[in-house]
Amino acid sequence: MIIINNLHAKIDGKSILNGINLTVKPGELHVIMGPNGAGKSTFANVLSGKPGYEITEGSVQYLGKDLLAMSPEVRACEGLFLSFQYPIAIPGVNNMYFLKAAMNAIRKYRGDSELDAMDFLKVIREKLKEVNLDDSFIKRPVNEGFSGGEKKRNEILQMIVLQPTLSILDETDSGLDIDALRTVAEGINNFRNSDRSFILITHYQRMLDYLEPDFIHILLDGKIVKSGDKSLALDLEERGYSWVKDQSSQLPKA
Amino acid sequence: MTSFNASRQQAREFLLDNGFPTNKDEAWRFTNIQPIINQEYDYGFHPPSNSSNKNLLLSDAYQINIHSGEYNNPDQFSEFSLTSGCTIERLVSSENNSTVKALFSTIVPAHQDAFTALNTALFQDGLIFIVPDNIRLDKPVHFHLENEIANHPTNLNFRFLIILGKNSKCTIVLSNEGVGESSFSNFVTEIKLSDNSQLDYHVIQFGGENDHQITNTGISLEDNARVHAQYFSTGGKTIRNDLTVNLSGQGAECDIRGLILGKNNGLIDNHSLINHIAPNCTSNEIFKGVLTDTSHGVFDGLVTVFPNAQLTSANQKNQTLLLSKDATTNSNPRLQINADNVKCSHGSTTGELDMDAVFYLQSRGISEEMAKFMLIQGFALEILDSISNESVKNILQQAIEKYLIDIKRTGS
Repeated sequence: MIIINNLHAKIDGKSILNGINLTVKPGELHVIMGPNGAGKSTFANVLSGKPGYEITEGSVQYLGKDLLAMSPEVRACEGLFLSFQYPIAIPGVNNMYFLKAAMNAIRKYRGDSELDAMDFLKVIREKLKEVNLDDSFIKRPVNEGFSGGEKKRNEILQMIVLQPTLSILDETDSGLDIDALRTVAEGINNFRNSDRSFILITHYQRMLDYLEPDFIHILLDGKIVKSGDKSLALDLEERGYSWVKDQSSQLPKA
Repeated sequence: MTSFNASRQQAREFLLDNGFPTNKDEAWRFTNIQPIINQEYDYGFHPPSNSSNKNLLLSDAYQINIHSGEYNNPDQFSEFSLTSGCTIERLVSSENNSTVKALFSTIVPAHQDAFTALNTALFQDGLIFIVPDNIRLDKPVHFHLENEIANHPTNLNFRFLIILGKNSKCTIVLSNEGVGESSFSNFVTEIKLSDNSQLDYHVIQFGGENDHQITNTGISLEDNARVHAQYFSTGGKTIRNDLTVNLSGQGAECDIRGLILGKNNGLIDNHSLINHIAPNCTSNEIFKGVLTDTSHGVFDGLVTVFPNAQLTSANQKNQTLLLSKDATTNSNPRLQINADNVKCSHGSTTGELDMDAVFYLQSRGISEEMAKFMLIQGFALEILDSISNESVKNILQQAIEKYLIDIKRTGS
């Protein structure tokens, strides 16, 4: 699915990513954890093509293509999706118009016919149920006046409507109450299959109670310093990041 | 009242004594009127050869074309009066009408400023429109002016006197589509809203490349009267609107909205005064601007709360989106509060397109160009939210879209 090799990135001249190596295979769910400032969001932003970052070294192969050479919209059309940590409010643009434009842009790119309003409505109604949102939701301006939970559910709604092959979920669990967390996790679980992969960025163990991650990676100072299975997240919850820091300081410099 | 001739004479004297404003006058600081006044004009209309007004045809409205001389046809007015129950007459032949006698040049006094004086001194004609008590019109009344390229620049000074009786309701659209070479239209509109009446008032200005449009409007509201006034201005060399709203009766409400879409080197300037004279009145005012190329937008709004006007609620907002580095805006929202039990707010924001929002849309597969289109459109469309007449809304939606396609084509 995606092969990230020695990825280095800077913003405003400051190095944030310092050689990330990560391979995600189809169907896998990888979790990235790490303290504040470790570079988690930068990693997500660089993969989705947000402007402002300078890639100084490394490569990213996505479905056999050079991901870093693509514009953000082409990445999305190729099946990459970023669930934003802080979804952006877009006053005056309603969710329906936005989602239809997005879906049709992707369909067009893939050579499929565009959906008309009726067909689109059919699709969207079904998906709204899956994330526990009512129909009025799509008439509201994108993320404008949404609660924290609504914003995150809106991200998951977009994911299940646009059907990406690789979803990067940046702190999709933060700011959610228990019920919303469960809804979001169910949305992700229902969407999982053997062709779709996920990179989930989180601070907390709690989301992982609902999901079955294949790998946990710890990001520290822009590098993955430790990888393991689900139990690693439990260790972290218990012991914090300091023991990883101590361990990693003893590692030989790359 | 004084006769038209006496009013004309007084206005002429005012103009001769005071002259035209310069950019040393506070109210005209940003508005260069030299191109308007240093020009010789023919007076009157140059009606278009084929009266098409494709852009501005409302699907279901009483339409009165000012340019084509239709307004000159008394039969049409009597037919309109029969079907609507309202009265409409030419101003020049209504000098002895008691309403005209009582109100002409009182809501917008001739000495208010040079262009009002110019209009009062030279007005070619005008219309008086009366909605009697308890009449609620279902269809909008649309006054439309179109000016075509003439051999010589033309100047039209036209007036409206609009009276809504008690408990009446009406939608009025006043549109001005300038296609003229340096044509200059100068409108004065006086509106009186009696107790419990309700007016939706739309000013739609499609400026031609080199034309100038100036409007002076006064709206006076009595007890519990409501007005929703909406200005939509795009194109033109100079567009200047002055609006005064007097909330004179208790419980009166005004909702003033404006959208300017500037391009090329056009100037669009909106000045407004909202006077809270009586207690318990509400005013909401929002003007938005989208400016590209070297266009220039001006917003100057003053809300005054008089000492008696307790329990006033007033909001005022101006938001501008600059799409090019050479576009400029001047925003001056002001509040003057002379009562203590009031709720007032005002604010102004100016910015460029939110690139985080552009990226958000791109990350969903939408091209950068389309993302920008959607964001500007969304910003502009918000101002149309409260329009209840679908036909008016459609025309404005299309105008926004046309503007966006135009600016995309010219690459700005």
